[in-house]
Amino acid sequence: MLPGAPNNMMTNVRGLYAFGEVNFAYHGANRLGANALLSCLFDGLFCGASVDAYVRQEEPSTAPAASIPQAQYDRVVDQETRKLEALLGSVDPARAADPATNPYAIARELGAEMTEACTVVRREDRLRRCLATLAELRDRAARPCLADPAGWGNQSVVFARATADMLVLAEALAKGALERRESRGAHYRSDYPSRDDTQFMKTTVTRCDAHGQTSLAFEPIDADLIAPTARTYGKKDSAAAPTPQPPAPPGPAPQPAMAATH
Amino acid sequence: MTAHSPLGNGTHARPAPPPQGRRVVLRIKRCDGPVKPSYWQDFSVPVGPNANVISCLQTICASPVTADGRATTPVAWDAGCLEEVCGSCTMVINGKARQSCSCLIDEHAPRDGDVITLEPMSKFPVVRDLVVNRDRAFHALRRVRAWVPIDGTYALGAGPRETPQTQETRYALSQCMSCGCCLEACPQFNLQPDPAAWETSFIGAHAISQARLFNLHQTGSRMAAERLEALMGPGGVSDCGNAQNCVKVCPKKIPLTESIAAMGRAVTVHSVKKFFSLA
Amino acid sequence: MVAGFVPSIVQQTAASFLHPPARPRRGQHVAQGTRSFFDTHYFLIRRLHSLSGIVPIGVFLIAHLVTNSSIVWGNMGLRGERPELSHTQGGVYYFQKEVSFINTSVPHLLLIEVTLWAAIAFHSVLGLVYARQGCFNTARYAYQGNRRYAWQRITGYVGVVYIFYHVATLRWGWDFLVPGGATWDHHAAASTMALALRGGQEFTAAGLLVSAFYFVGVSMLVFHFANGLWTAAITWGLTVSAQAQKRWGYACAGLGAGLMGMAWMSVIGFATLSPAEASKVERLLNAAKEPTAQTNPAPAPAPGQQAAGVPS
Repeated sequence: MLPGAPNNMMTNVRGLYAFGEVNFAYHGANRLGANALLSCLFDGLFCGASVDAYVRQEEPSTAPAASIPQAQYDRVVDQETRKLEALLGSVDPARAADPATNPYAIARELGAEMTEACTVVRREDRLRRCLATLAELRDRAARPCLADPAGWGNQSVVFARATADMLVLAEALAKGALERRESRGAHYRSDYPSRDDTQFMKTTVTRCDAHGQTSLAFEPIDADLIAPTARTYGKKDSAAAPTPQPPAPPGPAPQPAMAATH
Repeated sequence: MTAHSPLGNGTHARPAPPPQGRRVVLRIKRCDGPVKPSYWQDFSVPVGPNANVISCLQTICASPVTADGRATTPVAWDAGCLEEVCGSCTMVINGKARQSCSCLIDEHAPRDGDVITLEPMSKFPVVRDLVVNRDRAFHALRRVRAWVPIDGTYALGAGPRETPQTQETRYALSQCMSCGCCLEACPQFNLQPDPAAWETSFIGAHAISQARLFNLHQTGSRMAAERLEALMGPGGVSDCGNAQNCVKVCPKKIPLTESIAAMGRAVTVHSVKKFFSLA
Repeated sequence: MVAGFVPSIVQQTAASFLHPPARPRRGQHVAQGTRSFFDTHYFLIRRLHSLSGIVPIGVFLIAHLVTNSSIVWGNMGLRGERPELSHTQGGVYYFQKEVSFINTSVPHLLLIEVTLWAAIAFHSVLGLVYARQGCFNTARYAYQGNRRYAWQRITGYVGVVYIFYHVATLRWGWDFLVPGGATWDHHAAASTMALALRGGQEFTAAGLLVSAFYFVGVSMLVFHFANGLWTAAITWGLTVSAQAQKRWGYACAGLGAGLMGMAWMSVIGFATLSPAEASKVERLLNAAKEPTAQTNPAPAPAPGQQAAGVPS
């Protein structure tokens, strides 16, 4: 990361930056309470100039918004309008309370499932069951039934879309937890209680395609500057602890569902 | 859960837990949009342990049916952090302004069938149902320039030192989240939907307190005179009626009335200095 | 293709969908029109309103209540000067002496009075304007401070009417508003005051109403002053900490209780005073002090004066 480089903290969507709490980069396997403060402060201080550089030097200056054909805007507006109309078209007060298709009910099930399967302690069979549940929830969330036809302050529409996004993230999280057959930081696999640097001193990268399907890959971590040591938190007698990993360098952030429009 | 659970629950003498599997009635003042008429709807909501108002509203959205069995639209409400630090879920609950996320059902409606009333704040324009537009509260912060005038784009060296006493005073004030409770309870702060009038209508306890917070900051105090001038104008600190409801309802227990008095003193001194051209 | 614009478009679509059209734009400051005299001098006028409540109005209120309550405690104030007088007669005697002193020996009395009336008018008119900014919510927030906020305004409204009646009838001679039509006369201060309160030598129904109005009005004004003194200390920044505000609150409550005692003494003292009996004491004093004042019209001989008994 060079100070002021336009690509600092830029996602793989050109011009879309991931600053602050959405940014995983600075804490590796741990993301404890209040850690977001560091992301917010550092990204703001260090990478704000990157946005400035991007705006001055790259596409915004070479191809300003005014030069983009109106048709491109119209296409995106149409696309989003269709999504909106599809959701509003699903309104059926008679079926709205059916938990099978109510986004709030789906989100509640999602929350319960993720709390059960994907908090600190994780286990392979439970994670597999969780993925199966997520697939079912995604299926249900894809054909929601709303109760609110209003074109004003309609939170159901926003929430239905957010639920679909949450499901993509939940799947990425569960898949990553399943594939990482070791314990590291706040990720504890009761079936793999030790840290495994040879296989898993890597950053998990999840990609999301235009249809919202996620795929997983591991990127190696550059640990040339600081050799990994045991993270003992001051305990002297825990020599058995595996060697820890240095902070992960920033990698591409998981592509948000919105990028499907790209 | 038994009294002898391995987690040690039941070791403290606590009041008998509310009956499980009970329902409470949420009586909600609804409104379909700005300047539309308000109406009340009752919802019978099943509550589990540790339920709060937000979780009840989520339950209503998952099954938008009124207590008398009629299908309706889901209730709209605002929420952010769900841990009483953002202020966006502020509403009037059982007649008093507070955050709905930290409002526990067991405390407010301990028995089966108890009623909790929810209303949007009355001092801000309603967007829909329980959602209000709090722009005026944030506009008030702009009026008193509630920020420190550095942009952070270059190194300024070490910041000025702060005494523990000042830090202690400022910390209490810094907890303000501009939730609007003090404004909702204030008899001097009343609904003003016209943004053109915000510059001269009462600024509110939160902004007066924030002016004090930033005037106590050594770098922020560079704009102290501007803040005091803003507080001396129409709708400034003089408009406080000293009902002192603000300090009573503040969820963060911020000494708002002390801030009002401190700023009263500051503008007194400032005006005298100004009269003799010393400021 | 440039993807950077996509989120903003989505955002705009969402914004137009979700936000009220009247929503003011971030950072947009409302243009200042021409500011009136009251806007440019807002702070000064506000502070003058606060100050005028204490000086001169509050200071005068204290002096006024001390003088008027002497109808009850005045005999002690005589310190044996006229041992032959009863307690009530002593009160009348002392009060009459005080009133005569004020009306004959205080220099520039009219100037002082006009200043006072102007201050009261200023405080009242601005107070009515300022009180209109608020909206009571004591039903929802039944805190003691909030109740005092409401009472401060209610007592202000009633106080304006009361002071106007009080000054108009007793100072400007608007006798038509006095039941029984008594004119207050500073040569016969106590007896004419009693006549104005009672509606005649004996209580009339209208007189009872006037007495009750005096009782309520003066009580409200004392509250208004004591509570105003407490809020003024916050307004001016004299009491900053909650502790200081509490302590000053006790001090104001103490002062208020004292003034309230004097206020009640005054109203009850004059309302229970027999005008005829008071008149005798006043004639005694006037005869002794000002032999030439014999030609002064005696206190309006009210109906039923012949029924007045000798001092008992």
